[in-house]
Amino acid sequence: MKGVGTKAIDVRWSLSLRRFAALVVWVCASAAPAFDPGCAMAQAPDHRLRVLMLFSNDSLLPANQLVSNSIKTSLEAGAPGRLEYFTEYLDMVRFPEAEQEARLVGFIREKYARTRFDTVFALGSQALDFAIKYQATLSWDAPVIYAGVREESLRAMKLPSNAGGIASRFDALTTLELALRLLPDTQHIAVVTGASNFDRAWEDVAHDKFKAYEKRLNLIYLSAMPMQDLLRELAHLPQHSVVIYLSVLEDGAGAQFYGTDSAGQVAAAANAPVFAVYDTLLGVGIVGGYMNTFEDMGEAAAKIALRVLAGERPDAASSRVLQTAYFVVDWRQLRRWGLSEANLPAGTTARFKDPSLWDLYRGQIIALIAVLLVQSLLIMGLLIQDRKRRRAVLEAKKGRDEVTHLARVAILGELSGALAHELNQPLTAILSNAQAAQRLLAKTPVDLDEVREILSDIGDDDKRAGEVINRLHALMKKGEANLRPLDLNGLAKDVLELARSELIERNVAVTTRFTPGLPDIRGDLVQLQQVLLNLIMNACEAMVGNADADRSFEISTARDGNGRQQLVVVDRGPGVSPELINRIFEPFMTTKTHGLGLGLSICRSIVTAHGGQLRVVNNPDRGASFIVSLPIHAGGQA
Amino acid sequence: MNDDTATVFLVDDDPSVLRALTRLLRAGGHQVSAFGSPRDFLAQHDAAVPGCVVLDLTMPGLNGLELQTALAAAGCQRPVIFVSGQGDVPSSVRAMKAGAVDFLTKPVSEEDLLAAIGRAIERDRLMRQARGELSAIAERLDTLTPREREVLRHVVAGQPNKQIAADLGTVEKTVKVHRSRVMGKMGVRSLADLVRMAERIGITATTAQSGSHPHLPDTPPR
Repeated sequence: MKGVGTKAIDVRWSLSLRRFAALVVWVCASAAPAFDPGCAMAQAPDHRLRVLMLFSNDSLLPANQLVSNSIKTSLEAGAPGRLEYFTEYLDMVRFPEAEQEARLVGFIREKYARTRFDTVFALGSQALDFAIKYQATLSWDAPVIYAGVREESLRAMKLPSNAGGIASRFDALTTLELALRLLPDTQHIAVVTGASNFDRAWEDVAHDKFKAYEKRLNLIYLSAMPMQDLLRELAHLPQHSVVIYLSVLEDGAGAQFYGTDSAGQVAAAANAPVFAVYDTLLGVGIVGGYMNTFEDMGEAAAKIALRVLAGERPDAASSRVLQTAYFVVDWRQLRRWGLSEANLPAGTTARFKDPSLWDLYRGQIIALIAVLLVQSLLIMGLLIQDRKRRRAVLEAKKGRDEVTHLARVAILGELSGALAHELNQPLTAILSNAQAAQRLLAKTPVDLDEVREILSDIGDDDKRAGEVINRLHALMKKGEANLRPLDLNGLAKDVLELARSELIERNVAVTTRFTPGLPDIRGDLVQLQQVLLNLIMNACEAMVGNADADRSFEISTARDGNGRQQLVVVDRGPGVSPELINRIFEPFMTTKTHGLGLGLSICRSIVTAHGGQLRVVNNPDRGASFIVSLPIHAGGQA
Repeated sequence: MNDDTATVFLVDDDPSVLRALTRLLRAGGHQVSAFGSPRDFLAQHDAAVPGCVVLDLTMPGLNGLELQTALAAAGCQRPVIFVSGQGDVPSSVRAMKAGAVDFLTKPVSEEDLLAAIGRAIERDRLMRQARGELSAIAERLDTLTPREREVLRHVVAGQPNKQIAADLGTVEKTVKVHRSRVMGKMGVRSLADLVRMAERIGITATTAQSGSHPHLPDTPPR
């Protein structure tokens, strides 16, 4: 190590940039050797700014490329002229010898004898050291802007007034804290450092910074070991260990490494998660750390250079330390070690997250999800609406069934006297037969034939009474519609049977004209009986004003032309008045003084529910005809 | 107790009721003549046969009440018992007003029915008997000459022979001859019998007109 020797410890920079720092010089274009950059800028329509980047390490160090690109990008965004770049990689970490340094000075002086720089960037502590040491020798009058120099190294240097820049902080302690946060059960900390001066400087930092944890944790310092031994050691760490990799640029056997190499080997061999402080190491197998990026560093340095170019004093333009450090982790490593993302500090950057579909197609996915969401909401809305509608339909149907049933019960109520008579007939017959039998049995000789006949008659009458009750019961009870094939003629006869007494009572005569051999229709027996009963009662009502002998109606069945069957009730009443004929099927439309006026409206809804039609026409001579047409049962012959 | 020749005329449109009632009444010792409709009954029934009618009130065509009216119109006084499924007040009142002797509701009890029938037949018998007596009297009355009838009227009015003779412009002796001939023809032995008979057929001093028949009373004798 040269004069810079002690400071070769420049951790921040050397780690990644291990060899060279760069000097960047702005040269006020070809134009005048104007001293004042402001003046230079003012002058030249064609003025060029010559920038030299001086690196401590060699050109292959990833950090060097990151920094130089970042400087370039930032400068070009703000520079007042065309930029020309020059780079020198001093490689002083690998070749720290004094002769080598002397050769470099000579080489550079001769190389740039005719080149005047406007800005010199010194990247890394060796580069900075070199620049301030030899700027006079090299006839550089440009400001020296440094970056990639640890604040500790900087403190040990004496900077001239034309030097300015930004110090780096590589935070081993916060990185350790990140490790402990992710692995709360940790008991052992393996701290890995190499054999180079730079590495040893890191070891000192660790001893200093980690002191606070010495009591709580078992700190294992693996320093300056030959790589083989180091890796073997790392492979057999005790449980609940964490590895903090600081820097191995050279191992105990004298082998040189880039940080990415040694860190990669360490991470591959270790049986515990490895944490580090340089962001260039992310991706080689370490879990993460608290890091600055080299891009941020380059950008910060370039901004300072621009301010100096604009006339500020370099030392005044300097920032104390780069403050852009952040927690960063390798997402794959989190997975590998089963570490929970939930334990990460807020704002942690996760790198190498599999570019999920989300990352790749975020916009499309959001759009898609939005569309799906809207669609789902729509569908949900529709479903809810449909459900409501269905419930309402059900309710309505229930209500309709209820009303239909009530109407049926009401009409049976009107018939009750006649129905009692219907029931009384068989009961009368039974009682009389039984009493006759008793009398016959009291005689000698007993006329057994007669008694047998009586018993048979009693049986028949009992059945007949039963039928009356069944018919009534069927009409009285509430029930689901039960569609089945029905013979319309039979149905009409049944209803007439039921209404027989009522018709006699009302002195109404019936004529029937049933077309024989009609195919079955499909319907609910009880409901269609209700319809016909209603029509019959209406016919009777209509003829109340007629003379006794003039009360009669006709029931007929027939096919109509359209593959349906018709059931027609023709009365001889006054007919339906023209203003009423269109409203007669509306609910609550009644001409009677009693009743709700629901009968016909219910009849129509029943018939409609059967796929049929109920209509009324006035007859040419007198009275009205109510025509029920019903579709023929699909299974029956047409 | 029943007249052997009395017949119960049953009219009911319900065949099984008709059959059962027929059986019951036959078993109860009655002659029964059953009809399925009022028309059949009207067409076939013989008013001369004693007995009563048991009518169902509710029948198609003619109803029971109309049948009763038709019977009465035809001069048939046969007592009618109504049987009805509905014992509603209006129809029973109408029936009774129209001369029903009884009104029973279905199902009828045997006792009620047989008792009603017994009463009706008895009533028919009495009516027929009364009508028989009256017509015998009327027949006898027909055999009287106008002069004798005139004498009868005066006798019934309680006039002495002398007075009658004076009224008729004849002599007392002639009146006596007429009077005894009237007594003979009418088949009575005493004046009191004659007066009673005359009262039955409604002959009074003023009503006994020559050639005119007294009309028969509507109501049966008490």
